[in-house]
Amino acid sequence: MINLDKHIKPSRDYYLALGLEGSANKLGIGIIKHPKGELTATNRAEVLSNVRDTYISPPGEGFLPRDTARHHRNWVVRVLKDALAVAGLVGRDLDCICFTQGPGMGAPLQAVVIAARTIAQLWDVPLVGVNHCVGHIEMGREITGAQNPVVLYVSGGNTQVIAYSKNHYRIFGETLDIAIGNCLDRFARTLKIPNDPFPGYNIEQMAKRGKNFVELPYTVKGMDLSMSGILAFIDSLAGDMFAGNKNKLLVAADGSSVTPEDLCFSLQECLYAMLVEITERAMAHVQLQQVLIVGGVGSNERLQQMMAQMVQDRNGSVFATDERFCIDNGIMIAHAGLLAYRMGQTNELWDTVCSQKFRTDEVYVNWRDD
Amino acid sequence: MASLDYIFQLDVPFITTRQATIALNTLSPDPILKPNEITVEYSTKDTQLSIVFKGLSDRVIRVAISNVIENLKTIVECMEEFDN
Amino acid sequence: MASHIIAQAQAYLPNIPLTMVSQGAEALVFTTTTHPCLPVSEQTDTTYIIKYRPSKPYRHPKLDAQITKHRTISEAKIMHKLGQLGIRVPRLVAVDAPKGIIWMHFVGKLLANGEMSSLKNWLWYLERVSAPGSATDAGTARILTQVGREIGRLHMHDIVHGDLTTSNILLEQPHTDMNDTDWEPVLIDYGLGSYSGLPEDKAVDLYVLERALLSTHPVFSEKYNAWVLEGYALGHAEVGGKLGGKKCTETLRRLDEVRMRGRKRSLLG
Repeated sequence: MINLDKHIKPSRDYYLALGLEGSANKLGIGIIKHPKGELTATNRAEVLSNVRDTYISPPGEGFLPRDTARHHRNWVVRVLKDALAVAGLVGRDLDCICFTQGPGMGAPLQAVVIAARTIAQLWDVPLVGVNHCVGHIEMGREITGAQNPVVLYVSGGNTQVIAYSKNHYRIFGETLDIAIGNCLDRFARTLKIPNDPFPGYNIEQMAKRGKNFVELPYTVKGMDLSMSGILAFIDSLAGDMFAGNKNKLLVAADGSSVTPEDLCFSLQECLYAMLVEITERAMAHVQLQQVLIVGGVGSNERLQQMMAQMVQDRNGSVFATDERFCIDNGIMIAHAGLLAYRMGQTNELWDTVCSQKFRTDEVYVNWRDD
Repeated sequence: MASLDYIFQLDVPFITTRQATIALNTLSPDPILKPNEITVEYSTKDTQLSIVFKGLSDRVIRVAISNVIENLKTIVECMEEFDN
Repeated sequence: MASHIIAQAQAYLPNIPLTMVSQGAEALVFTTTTHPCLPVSEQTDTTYIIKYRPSKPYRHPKLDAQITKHRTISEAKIMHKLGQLGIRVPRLVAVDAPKGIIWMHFVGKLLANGEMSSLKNWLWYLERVSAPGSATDAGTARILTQVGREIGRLHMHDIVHGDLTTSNILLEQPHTDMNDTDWEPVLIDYGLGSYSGLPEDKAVDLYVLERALLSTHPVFSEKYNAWVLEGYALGHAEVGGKLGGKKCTETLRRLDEVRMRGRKRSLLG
């Protein structure tokens, strides 16, 4: 039994944490409240505010670090104000200020940590550095109640299959090259699909209208997967399609021409089947029955549907969060940070430098003892 | 080793000594990416934060100054909004 | 395990009594003592394994058929080739690719706790049940070195396994006079296997095993992996002499790069 209350303020029986997230194009700030004692189904964390602003680049373009950092700098004070106002709090009420220390894009991460350091000193509140992936995992566990699932973490910047073992979130499988969200985003650029609300969502809508399945390379390698080959292949197909070049892969079984919708459909079917396969492998290998999907790509309905079909055959269950929590947000940082804070973690200023490549398994998860 | 001949000093006035110190503590933890091309030193004197840039060329100095000023904007904005 | 999947397997294998042994992510494994082709009068007591790759409902039917057939054929072809090269592999009996079925001779035995003698189960048994220290004693070192040797020999023949985990390495005791801790490793599950001479592919093969060891047997994984790599070099030398040594060095150098990519991967392309 772990004692989670060694650092509680004597005058209170709860904790308040602010979380700042800006590792990619979403700037999210949230405030969470933890009651005293272990978090259980009857003793739950409470979201006091969860504010977010997303930097959306024009169709055909990705978001660049400098522009993204500028967006975050322009919005951080406004979003902070909003988060505090919605929660009805002032800075000095907080137990800690949690921020994403990595992984992610360098300039945007730094833009946010500058604000975090400043307010921490203004309000005299300690800072807690948080791993972005662990934020997703802990928020997923809290929201869905999944105790010990295999976690599929899929976003623009990450594709990992994770399972907890002895105080670490261990990576069982991952992408050998690009992340799935990145693959989808880049194909969206090839097709010049709008980026609003996010490119993957628009690919999903187009895929729903596709029906011809085009054979794409299927590249699962053990517990890992590779996606750059598929992207190159489908980019080339799209190129032929737009240029009107003859390509027998672009002719469907019934003789009709393959459409962009068909390509979106085929890409999803192929990529998601690969994700489900490596998740199933991890489940079989460690003998766990639950799957938790986190990260922005986790909001995709087709992926959730495919995962549900797979676990059904194994008598397991799937858990997923809604877009408030699966897309990058500040609350998940506040939550994971507060768990670490309650176990004694704070970061001195010199120790708040962000890192683009902070591995999930580097974090010592001392708030769990299973 | 080429010497860092291009020098620029930026003096930033704050309202209180505390604010100047907070700004210094916020800017200084991040390491310089190319220390053989540029160095940045921070110091405070009462309510003033001084930043000394020493670099290999004009361009290198300009980029560094630009980055620091953008960060200072965030710091000052936070102070205006939240320091009461 | 969903019973409709077992029912489908039985439907594909009429009149063959099936006893289910394990349910992996990709396939079900059954044992039977009935040979697929011999007439009833000529049947013996030999035990066979039937590996069945069921259809996966979450996959598009065209993709599903493509994967099932391809992996079954690929696995059977590689197993056949390895048998010819003298690498320890279960002996093939029959294949029905569109249905995803492979018949082979039984390998391995049951451990004291009733589990199949995969390297994973055996290491877990040592780590959790056996006397302390047994997980890292000379016997264990020998077995893991042998595992490395088999992989080394596999790679020397430019064949890449594609899915090296401790579940895919079976331990058998082929001679009756072997004692309780004396095992020989047999690599199984070549569904993701391929022919490749590229150091990159071989390095990824080793990296997959390294990570599988780290995630499934975290306490001693570094030691285990070191022994595997020792055996890997030996396997190369045995099959290929000096050239083998060169290939081994190239692959291990590439392995360092693959490791770095994992640790320092730029997460946004």
